[in-house]
Amino acid sequence: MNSILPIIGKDLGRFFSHMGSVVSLIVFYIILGLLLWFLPDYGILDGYYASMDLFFSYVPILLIFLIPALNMDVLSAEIAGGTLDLLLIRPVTTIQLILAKYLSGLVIVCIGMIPSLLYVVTVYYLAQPVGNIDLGAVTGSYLGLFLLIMVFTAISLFASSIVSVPLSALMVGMFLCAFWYWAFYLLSSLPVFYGQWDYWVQYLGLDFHYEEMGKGLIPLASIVYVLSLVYVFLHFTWWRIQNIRNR
Amino acid sequence: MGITVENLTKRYGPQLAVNQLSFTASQGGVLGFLGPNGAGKTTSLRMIAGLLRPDQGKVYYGDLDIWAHPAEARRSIGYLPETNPLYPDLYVYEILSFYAKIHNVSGSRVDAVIEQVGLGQESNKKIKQLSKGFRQRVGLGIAILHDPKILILDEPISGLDPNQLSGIRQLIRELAREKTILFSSHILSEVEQVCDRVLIIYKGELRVIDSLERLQAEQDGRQVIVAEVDSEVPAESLSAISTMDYCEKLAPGKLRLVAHPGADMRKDLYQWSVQAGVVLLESRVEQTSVASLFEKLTK
Repeated sequence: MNSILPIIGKDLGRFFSHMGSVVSLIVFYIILGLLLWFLPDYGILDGYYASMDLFFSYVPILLIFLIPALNMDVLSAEIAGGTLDLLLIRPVTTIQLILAKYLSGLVIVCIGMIPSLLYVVTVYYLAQPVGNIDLGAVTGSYLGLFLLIMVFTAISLFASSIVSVPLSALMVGMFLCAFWYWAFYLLSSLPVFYGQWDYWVQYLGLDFHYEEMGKGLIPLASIVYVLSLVYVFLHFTWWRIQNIRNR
Repeated sequence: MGITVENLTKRYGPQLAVNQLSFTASQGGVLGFLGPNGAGKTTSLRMIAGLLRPDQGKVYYGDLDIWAHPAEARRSIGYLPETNPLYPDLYVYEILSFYAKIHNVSGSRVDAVIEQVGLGQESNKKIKQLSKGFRQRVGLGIAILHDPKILILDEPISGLDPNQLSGIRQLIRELAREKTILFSSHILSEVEQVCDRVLIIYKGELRVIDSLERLQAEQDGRQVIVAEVDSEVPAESLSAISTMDYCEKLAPGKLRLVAHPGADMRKDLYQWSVQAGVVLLESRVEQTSVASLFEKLTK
């Protein structure tokens, strides 16, 4: 823990003192705000029910861009700048380093999600009567969102470890996040799967589990699935850093 | 705690970067690492620091095999890489505190190191606002922060101005009282001033390792005298100096005389000047420099 906390502290400090990182979050909320409150016919204000469903359906798409953008230089810049070497000759194990980087990425995105609670408060007070909103479903959806963030952060960390150019890390991260979110749903419609295996192919995709949790259910299988994906990508990252350590 | 390097070998594809490098460096001294560009200095230092795994060979800090016990080894070493990687957006105090926390070192030690490397006035500046010389000091501060027993400094004095140079030189000499220091530099005069022993590496192979005094004394075993006389001297008249092997004309009236191996020319030179009626304005025995040894061994 002695080695993990300073790395988390340093990464959080660097993130929030960087104008570019904060601007990414601002842009995220501007786009989200426009989609939710100003898009004609599709906005929250045009719905018949006081609901956050629209927010939870847009957010994963934006997170596919946002999370790789926020994490693109978390390891790639350390590799390119040579500062990773200075960390690797400290009494820091590879597991500690990856956990520190992962947790700092997770904390950054979670802090970034806090302002979205304002939308919940707004919908809560706009409802007729006030408070007529399914808070159980909202809580379940936020938990689903958190699990999604966990996977996207692990994917982005892995992407940042395999290339030393942050922009390339962004592209790889976005591709992998989009793939794991949508690809299995799209693949399930192929004739080879359709009608027999399509459910199970969809089951492999993140969107399937995210939607399950949006219904207010937290299936154990979905939690196991998400944690397994996080483990797989963190393990790939560990493998990559070990390769650098043993080169 | 000394360093023992045994048969260190590293290959990059078909290229043999370091070949069977073996040496020992004992505690309490500075071993200069010399070699032309591409000789394998940085590769060797990275392997000795535990940052690069050798294809063959072992490195010991004291009795500790660094690849068998990496965690213990990492506590014993301070390393300043050639590129001196730093986080440009962090403040000087912040970056030193960061590494101090990783090593579980107190804040008072950070203050002490800041003073030791002469960063007192710069501690509230961001790394990107510092000159190259001050960045080198930050790198050195990071390397010594946890009081390691072994210090590996890859080009620590590049970018320093003469005043900074003398301060860092003094600091390295002070640190060398208790630590084992490997010091690589292209500035040969600095190596002569800072190091007790010198290792010259060329094409990945060890060419020589010895103390500076012995290297200077033993190079060819020849005496070299630089003499200045008041008039032009015909070359044939110098043949009267029987102990002289050959002579180079450095400038009008200025000569560089090289003796036969083991011979002392001083007496013969004086007698020759009297017999030839030449006024000897100056004569001095030239120390064989590391530079000439370096040239000779890396041709």
